[in-house]
Amino acid sequence: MSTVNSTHEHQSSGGGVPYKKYKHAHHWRSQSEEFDAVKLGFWLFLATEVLLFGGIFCAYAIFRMMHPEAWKEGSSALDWRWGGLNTVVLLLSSYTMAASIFAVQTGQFARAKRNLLITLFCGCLFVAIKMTFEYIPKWSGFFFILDPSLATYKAAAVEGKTAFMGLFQYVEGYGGKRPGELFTHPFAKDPNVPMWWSVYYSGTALHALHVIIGMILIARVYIKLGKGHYGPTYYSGVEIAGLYWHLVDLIWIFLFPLLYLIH
Amino acid sequence: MTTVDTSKSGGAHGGHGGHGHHGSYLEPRSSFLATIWDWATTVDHKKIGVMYLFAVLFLFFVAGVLALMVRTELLTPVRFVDGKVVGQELFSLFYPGEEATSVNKGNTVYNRIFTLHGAIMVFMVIVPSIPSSLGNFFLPLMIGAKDVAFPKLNLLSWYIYVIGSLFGIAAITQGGVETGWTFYTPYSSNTDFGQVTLMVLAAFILGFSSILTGLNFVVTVHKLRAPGMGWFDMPLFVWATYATAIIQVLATPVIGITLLLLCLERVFKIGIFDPALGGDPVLYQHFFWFYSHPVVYVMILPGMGIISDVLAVQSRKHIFGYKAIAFSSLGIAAVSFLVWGHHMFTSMGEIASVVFSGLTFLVAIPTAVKVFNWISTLYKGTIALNTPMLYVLIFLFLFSIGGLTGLPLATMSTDMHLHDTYFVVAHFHYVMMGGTIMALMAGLHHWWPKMFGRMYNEFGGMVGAILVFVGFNVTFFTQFFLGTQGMPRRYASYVTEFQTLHQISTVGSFILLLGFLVHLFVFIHSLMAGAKAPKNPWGGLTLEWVADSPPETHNFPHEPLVKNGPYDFESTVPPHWDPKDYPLENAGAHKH
Amino acid sequence: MSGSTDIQNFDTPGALLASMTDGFWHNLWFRAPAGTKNGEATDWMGMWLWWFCVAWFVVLMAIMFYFVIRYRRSRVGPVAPASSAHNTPIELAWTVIPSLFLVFMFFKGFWGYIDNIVAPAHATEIKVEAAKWSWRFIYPTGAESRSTKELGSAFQRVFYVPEGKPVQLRIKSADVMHALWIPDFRIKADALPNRYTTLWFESKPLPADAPKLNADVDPLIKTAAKEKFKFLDGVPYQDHWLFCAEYCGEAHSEMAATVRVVPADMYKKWLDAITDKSDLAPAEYGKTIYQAQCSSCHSVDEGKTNTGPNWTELWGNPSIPLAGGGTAVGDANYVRESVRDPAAKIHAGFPNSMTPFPAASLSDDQLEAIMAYMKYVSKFTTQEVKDEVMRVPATDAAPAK
Repeated sequence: MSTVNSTHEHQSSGGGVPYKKYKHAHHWRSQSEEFDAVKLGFWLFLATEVLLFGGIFCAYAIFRMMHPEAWKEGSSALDWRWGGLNTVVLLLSSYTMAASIFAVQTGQFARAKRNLLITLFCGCLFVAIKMTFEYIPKWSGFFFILDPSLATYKAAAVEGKTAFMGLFQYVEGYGGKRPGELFTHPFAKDPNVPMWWSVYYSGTALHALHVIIGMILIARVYIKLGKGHYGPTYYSGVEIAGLYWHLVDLIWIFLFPLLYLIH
Repeated sequence: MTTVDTSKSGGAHGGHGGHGHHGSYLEPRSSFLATIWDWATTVDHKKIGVMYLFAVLFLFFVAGVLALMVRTELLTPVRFVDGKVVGQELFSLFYPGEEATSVNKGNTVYNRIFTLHGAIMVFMVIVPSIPSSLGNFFLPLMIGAKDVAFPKLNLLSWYIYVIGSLFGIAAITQGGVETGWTFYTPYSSNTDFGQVTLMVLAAFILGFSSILTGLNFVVTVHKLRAPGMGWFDMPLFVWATYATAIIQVLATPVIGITLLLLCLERVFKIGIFDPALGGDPVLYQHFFWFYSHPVVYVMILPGMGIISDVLAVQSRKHIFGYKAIAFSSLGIAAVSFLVWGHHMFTSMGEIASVVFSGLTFLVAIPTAVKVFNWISTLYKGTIALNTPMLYVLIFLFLFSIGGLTGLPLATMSTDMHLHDTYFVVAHFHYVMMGGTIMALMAGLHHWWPKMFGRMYNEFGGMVGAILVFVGFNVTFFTQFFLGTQGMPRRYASYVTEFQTLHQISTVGSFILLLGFLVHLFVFIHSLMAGAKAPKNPWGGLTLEWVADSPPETHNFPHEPLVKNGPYDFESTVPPHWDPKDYPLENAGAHKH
Repeated sequence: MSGSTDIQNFDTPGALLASMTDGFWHNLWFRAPAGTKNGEATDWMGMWLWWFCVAWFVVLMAIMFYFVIRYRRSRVGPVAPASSAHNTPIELAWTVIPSLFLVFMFFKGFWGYIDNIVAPAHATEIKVEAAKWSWRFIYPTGAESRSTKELGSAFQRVFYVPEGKPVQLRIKSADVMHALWIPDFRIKADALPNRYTTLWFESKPLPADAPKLNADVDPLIKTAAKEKFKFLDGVPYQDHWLFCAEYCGEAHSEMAATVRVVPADMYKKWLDAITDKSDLAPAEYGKTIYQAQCSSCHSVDEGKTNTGPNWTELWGNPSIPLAGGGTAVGDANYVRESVRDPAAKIHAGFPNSMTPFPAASLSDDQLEAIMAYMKYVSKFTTQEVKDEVMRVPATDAAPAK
């Protein structure tokens, strides 16, 4: 079989769920061998992701050593409550992801789909919180009008200066916390604070990108689950999406204390 | 795609419970377009391997032409005579009709040429050369599998390689790059010249191809070995490919993040490598070499695997110290991650330099042990003097020089003089070209009959090999002297004292070209009119010789059973051994 | 020990040693003997490695070719005779014995490297600035050389240095990575934009047959006003190449200079001649900056304490105690960091309260002047160094500290 399309054989018409008809690829001797191989392969891929982020963690460690004052100043500008909320969101989503895998393994398809949807929702929530309550205010100085921390900046809020149909309120002197040369925050104390922001944005943006990639994988699993491609006898795709999601969660578990908690 | 005659193997095969006998993998489809589509959508590791082979050989020639341009420019130093610039051979090629009033424009031509030579050779040629071509083709065959673990991922790797290469070609045609293939900051993060970001993205994309191939190979070796093949029954080429794949998986992501950060630095000026913004340019070097040192072992380890196999088969003798060679491959892979700082002795602190120097000497030991084992394998062998064997000997000669010249570079006091000089250029060409490329040539000739079902012209092969050997030494041995005498790297011009050596080196490079052209001619002739190849022309014992020449689509008609070790020449009759070619009646210890 | 090209004879130990630093094989590799004693030591190591490699290579290749010929198939037949796949004693030997050689190489290399990195305390410090695409040597008196010489395709600067006296180069780049390489001295260091690297050398005595300077070699001998450099006429000299050895762009191959060794007394006169005495001496200038911007927290009187550390114990101090443990060396990198990013290293027992001085408020040239003043007041520097930075004219009776 030397073309792309012919590894799956399933009935083209009439009843019969695809996963029950799943045939492993011809170069494997059994489905369990194929499944083991897929998992080994995916763990190797996860190792490459760890090493990718390793570069960011390395940069964090080195620059923290070189500019401890900048690190203190920079991390104090982060609100651990938003980071903490995002941590809870991701942990919850990891639980629901694992629950959906278990549900597929035991043939509880409705439960599986429900949990996948919750996972997806949590992913969206993570990115939304990050953008709305962290990136946008820090970059531009515009706070979401329902942002609880807006109350502490009432004095500096510029009356009438809003954006995006009045949904965002400008606060004087808060924004400009941008990486490197783009840095324009007027009240920086340490000259190396822009470097902190470079590390912060590179790390969290790369992570958010992986969250989005994970969501795409999970969405794909959701769709295929709906078409009956996964079931108790074949669920490797779900497991793999789960492994990826857990890695994304794990990376955040490291990023969060390093960026938000250590001072 | 030229149509190639398929060689149908004799004998009936059906009825063993497996597939029936299929046609060769090279069999064309019903129409030309259908054949193109077949190759474009194939998940057959053999086809993918052949596509990689042609791409790599093509890009090798492209980068080789760039090298010839470098050497041509260096025939004469650049001088001002009567207010006009003389000695810039490439200037009129790129700016026809113009007169150079300053050296800089011509220098920029040269700087782009040497950068692109390096970038293409490293990222598009040498790293994928053996693993993606011969590795892809023979890894499943050697372990008795029908394909690699993830055939579709294999095809994806190929297309990622194509896309990355296209990005690179786009960068080249849109102005090129002149930062050196190493992209050192702050120069690369600040320069406006050329398409640095595009080229860096090309390298980033190519990295994914490497990672996915490596991942595929690791899982293949773990999970797809035929029954009866334990780890120590595998051919050494498989061990070497496995060790290489581990490095590819673990090291390549680091260059990924490095290049990504470099792009962010260029586009958004995040400052991580810029001292003016609190960053550190030497940090870039650490990140860069953390990958780029292990990658040189990605380049050489598969070559060493080829040498082990070809040497054993062409001497019809068991390899000396099988386990030593197998474990040394893994040992080299492991230690390769610990020595990156030896590229940076002149920009690191003293303590770091000392540590890296010591560790670098450590990695020399398993490498030397391999060379001793190979030479010992020749002892009491029965050595065929053909092109593959000639290339094995050429490898041993050239790689020994390359490895030995690594010693003055690992030694800190001498490195202070030799770093960033032509001595280093000579050293790495001896190991990368004298090592990897010569091993590739050995493997290509050795496995050509299997891959394409045709024999190549032996005399032509030998002539090519001798020309390549002579040309290589003339080109690069002179460069050792240039380095110690005071010639720095990446110079478009030089003081007059170095001209003679440069001219000798350039002459050598054209002899090299001649050698490779002979090989090209021999290979093309073989594909079009070569004699049909038997299944096992050399009498090898490993599983690829059980398959047809060229192999059928699913490699084997039924799953092979492993009954002997890969190099048990003394006690095993090779499969499909044709008595016409090599009569067996003889005194000597062998049993049927 | 001038450049001999005779085929070497190895019959006496002296000749054997000489062949490692001079003679046919040596000069085949290095063109001429090294210009410094440390360079000779590097050459010794280089030649030792060359002969070591030749020996191993010849032996290995001889064995390989012998086996190929002796065991070729046309002679042996299609089946190989029986032989072993292991030989533990041999395998152990060929692992252990080369390793011992490697250990030797490592240590010799390490010691040679340290010799090249650690300058004697009384070395004169010349600051080197690398920029695209030229070199500047800024001498301790603050002056720069004006001599040039044609090298390659351009006229490049010539830097005079004294014979027989240690010279330390403190190197920095103004823009991208460069590297300073003096092939004849066998030393090289990268030029980084964010910190200093150092090299040092002490030139060997000039050979008896060294060429003599004249107006063709250095036109300033004739053209300079008031015949300022006439004393150089007839002075023996030796020129050495200085190359940039880290790719830096268009004119990387044109970024060269000449290091010219002249007798030490002539060097002093030359240094005096290039120095513009109407301008403040570096330490003098540094003193004015100190008084205006640093004296409120730092004292230069021995024993006095103040908000910040006392400068008499700063420059050249081999172990400055740091808050949080560890020590630092009071060198140019430490001073530069303490000015640009004071919070990075805090002197033990002192508060972290110094405002950073970025380049906008204290330029690199001003920083240089401050360092010169620190040298002047430090108790760790020699009188000779202090005299240089304050441009105290040299007298025969000046005592060395």
